[in-house]
Amino acid sequence: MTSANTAPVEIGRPETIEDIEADVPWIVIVWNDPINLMTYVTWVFQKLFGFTRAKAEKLMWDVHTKGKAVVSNGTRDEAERDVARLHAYGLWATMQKDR
Amino acid sequence: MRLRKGPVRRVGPRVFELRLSEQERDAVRTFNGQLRVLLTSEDPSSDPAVARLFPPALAQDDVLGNLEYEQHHGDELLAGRLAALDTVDRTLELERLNEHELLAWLGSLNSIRLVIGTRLGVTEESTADDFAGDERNAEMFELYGYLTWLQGWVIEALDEELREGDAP
Repeated sequence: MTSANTAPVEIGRPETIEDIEADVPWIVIVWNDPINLMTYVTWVFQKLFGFTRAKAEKLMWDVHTKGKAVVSNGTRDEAERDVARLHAYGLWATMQKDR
Repeated sequence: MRLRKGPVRRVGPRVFELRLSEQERDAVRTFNGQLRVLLTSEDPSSDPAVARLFPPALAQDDVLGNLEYEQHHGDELLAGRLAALDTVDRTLELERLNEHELLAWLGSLNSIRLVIGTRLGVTEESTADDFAGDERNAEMFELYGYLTWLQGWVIEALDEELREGDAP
C-alpha cells in the first residue's frame, strides 16, 4: 500500500479533442463490494480526503446501501490521481465525466 | 467501552502495540508470501482474484482509457503493495509498530482479504455454513474471518490515531 501522502504523479498525457471539448468535470465513484469493511472504508475516506467522520460515514453508508457514492471531482488528472489512491487502498473506484 | 483487550492498540502518538501469538504471526507470514508470489508471477488479467487488486479506472468498454490508466499507475500500485509486504515481513516479530509499519499491515491484510474473498466469492451475507461442504474452502473462510477480525483491530487503532493524533 502506498502512503496516503504519496505525491501526485505528473502525467504527460496528450490532450485530445475530447478533453478540450468542454470544461466537463470528472467525478470519482466508489462502488460497494462485499469484502472491504465498513470501518475501513470510513477510515480511508477520512485519511485520503480529510473528510470529517460524519461526512466519511455518510458516504460509506451511501456506498453500502445505494451501491455507490461520488467521493471527489475535478479535472481528469485529479480524478485519475484519486482513483489510483483509492485503488492503492483496495477500494473499488472508477471515474467518469459528470454528465 | 472496551470489554477485552485486542491484538492491536495505540499506546501513544503513532505508536502501536501488536500482541499476536507465534501461530498468528506464522499465518500472516504465510499469506504474505503467497500474495507476493501472486503479485510477482501472475498476469493480473489472468486471475480474477489478483485483478481485484488492480481494478479498471474507467467503464469496462473503455479499453484504451483503462490501458492508459494501467500504464500510468499499474507499476506504482504494484510497487506499493510489494513495499507493504516487505514492511510486514520485516516487522513480523515486533511488538511495537510505528504508524508507517501499521499502515503496511493494514494494506497487506486488506490485499490478502480481497484475494481470498474474491477466490471464495464471499458476499456480505456469507457464513461458515456456505463453505462447509468443501474442506479447503471451509478452512480458507475461517482464515478469512481471522484476517477480518485482525484488520478490524488495526483499523480501530488507526482510527484512534486519526481522532487523537492531532489533539494538542
